[in-house]
Amino acid sequence: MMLSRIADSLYWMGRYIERAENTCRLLKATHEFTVELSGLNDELAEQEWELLFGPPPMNEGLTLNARYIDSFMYDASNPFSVIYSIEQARSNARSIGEVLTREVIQQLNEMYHAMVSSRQAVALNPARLTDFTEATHKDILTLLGAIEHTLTRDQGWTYMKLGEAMERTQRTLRVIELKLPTLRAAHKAKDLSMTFAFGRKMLLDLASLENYRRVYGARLEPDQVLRFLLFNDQTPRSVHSGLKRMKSYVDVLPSAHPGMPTMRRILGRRLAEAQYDEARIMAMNDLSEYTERAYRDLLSAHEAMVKPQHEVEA
Amino acid sequence: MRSKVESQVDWNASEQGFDEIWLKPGKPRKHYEQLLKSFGNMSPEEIARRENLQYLSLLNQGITFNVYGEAEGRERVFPFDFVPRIITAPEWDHLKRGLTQRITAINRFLLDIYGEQDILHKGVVPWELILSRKEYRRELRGIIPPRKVFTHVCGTDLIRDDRGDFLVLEDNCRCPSGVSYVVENRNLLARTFPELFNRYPVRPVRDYPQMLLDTLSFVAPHYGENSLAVVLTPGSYNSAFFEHSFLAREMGIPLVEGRDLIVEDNQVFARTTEGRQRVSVIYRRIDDDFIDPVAFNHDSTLGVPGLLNAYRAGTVALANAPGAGVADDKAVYAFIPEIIRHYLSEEPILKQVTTFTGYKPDDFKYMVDHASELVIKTTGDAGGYGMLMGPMASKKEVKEYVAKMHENPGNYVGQPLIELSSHSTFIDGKFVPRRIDLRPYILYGDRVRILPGGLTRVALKEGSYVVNSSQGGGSKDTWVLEDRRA
Repeated sequence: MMLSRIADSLYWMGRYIERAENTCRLLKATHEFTVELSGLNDELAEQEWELLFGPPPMNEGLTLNARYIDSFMYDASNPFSVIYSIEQARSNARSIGEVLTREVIQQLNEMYHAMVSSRQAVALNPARLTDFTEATHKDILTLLGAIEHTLTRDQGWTYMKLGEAMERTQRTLRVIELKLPTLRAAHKAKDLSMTFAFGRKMLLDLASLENYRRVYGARLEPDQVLRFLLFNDQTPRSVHSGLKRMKSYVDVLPSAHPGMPTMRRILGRRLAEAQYDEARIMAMNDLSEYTERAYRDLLSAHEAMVKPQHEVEA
Repeated sequence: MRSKVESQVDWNASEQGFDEIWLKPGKPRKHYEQLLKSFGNMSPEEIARRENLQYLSLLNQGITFNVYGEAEGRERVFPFDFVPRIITAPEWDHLKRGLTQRITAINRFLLDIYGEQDILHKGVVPWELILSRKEYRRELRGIIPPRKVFTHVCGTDLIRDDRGDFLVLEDNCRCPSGVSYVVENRNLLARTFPELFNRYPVRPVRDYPQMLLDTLSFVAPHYGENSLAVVLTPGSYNSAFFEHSFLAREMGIPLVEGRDLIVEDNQVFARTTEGRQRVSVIYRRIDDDFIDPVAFNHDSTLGVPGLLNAYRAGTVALANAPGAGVADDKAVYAFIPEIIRHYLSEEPILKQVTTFTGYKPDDFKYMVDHASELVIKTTGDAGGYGMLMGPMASKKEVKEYVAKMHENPGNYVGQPLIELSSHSTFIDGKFVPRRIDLRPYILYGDRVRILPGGLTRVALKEGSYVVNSSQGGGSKDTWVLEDRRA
């Protein structure tokens, strides 16, 4: 038994922590990728940032990379920044502290205070931006470890993990959708080095490079990369794996939640498709049709999940 | 004045009032000798290192309180001073007896004034005093709370006079806060200064949540029969939110907000992931005014509509019971000795501060004439707000305050300024005397349970008498020693 409000907060906490981790990793991967690329092709490096993070943030005193990192790490008014996600996760954790462990609360607080201090240090020395991004990423992973190893496997944990899996799966779909055209274009142009670079970057964006190599070896074929990220059910950031996890969570959660039937229906349909329709989907002319539809479906499932219970009762 | 003890850091004894540590300069009280030896072995650098560790630990564990009206840096660490206050076994036994007597009488008084009103009929306490208190809820007359308990939790503030005698300064019968800091202070001190505990038989405090849950379950109708005990909080922006969360976590019960509860057919339910779950006892940390918008403040969004009806129907226990606040009104306080005599036929064990009540014309005249010598407070405020410290105030401040008093004389009480006792406190690298009080926590259920010690609050500013956290106060760990002869 758990208060509906607490279940909702845990779901959001799971989402925000996952979002912070994703953003941190994307910043690191994109920084490393563009540092190398900018020497070869400045425009392409800018395009890569813009593709994932939108137009360049305003801060003329900094390099392009530093502008993006600064804004997406420390700008609390930017709802996609790491600090925004951490603040939201912390605010959720504060309101439901009684269902968390001391280790989780402490790590979340330590990480937040470390970010506040590093923001001040960065203002004095922007060269330290990448060090702090690395440190924050490690802190988030430590937090995830505290969650994994100290929280009891009850409904609360399941709601948090459901939020995490939802955020992760949507992120994977979004990254694939955004980067698909450049990967396909490089492949079509038979530009082997750029095909390799974009394929590798896509896998790095989704923390899947090493896992991919274990299945397919060093060779990066666009179709194999996409197949791996969409349908491999072993790697933790694939769409299939995310759907499988979410389905396993909603199967054990109580049915009384008004959003649960919608959630179960969507996940059941999507998971069946991922399990049995791989060949058809991979043969589609425009794979983004699939990613977009799947993304929209998950959005509907999410909305059903977070609709306030008293609103539904009324 | 400087004290001569073996120490790498200076110790200073108080020149005014009762000094908790120093019998005279250079000579500590016996029960503090070992403690001073332990500190004597530490260098200033080592002490500073551990003090910093304490601060970080409080911050990282989120042991903070919120300050209203501060947009930035809303969360603040409640300053903790690591020099523990020690209470001997005989001192504590005396306090325990006095506090037990006091809460028993207060509870009888509340049952009476919401019932037969015998004490009012007999003129021991004036009718007009009780009926004019805004905390007296006429609509609750005739409602007997489950198990006849009104004040499940009481925090009684104590001070020590020049001679070291404990005096009751006030009772807090609504939602006394601070108990979480008692437990966390002990955890923190044991972690950062473990050697201080050497050779001291300190009574434990960590079982308070269990004591509270026992008290709550005693009054809960049908508790355990598929029903819940919950802590009701106004939400995470409340100044004491950390404590609400702490108590719920330590008791293993849900922390709810008003929106999590619903009343149907005079039964309270929690909205859960598995549907509605019946609630049988609510430890509420919301004032009466806001607890039920149907019965009290209609604008309240914090409470639960219909809660009072459920309470009336006897399906849910509220701790503390609505209406209990009248017993800690500062004007009613003046009558507590008479209340004890009336119900228990005993002399009060604990003394209290002489109090002039503004609703009596003679008292009011005295208060006006001697405002510059008195501490004058409004009867309904807490937290050190709405108070005039006459001897410290300027003539202009006194004049303005007196002008306000004339608008509603019954709203004020006056007391002589009592020199609070002092206790060495570590500030800016030195042990200096600072004024302290003590808030023990008393639980009233199937029996009276008192947490050993309580919260020692300390006025960190030099010369200050105000110990409240909202006004620059801090806290100390409070050790009650076991009687080794027992």
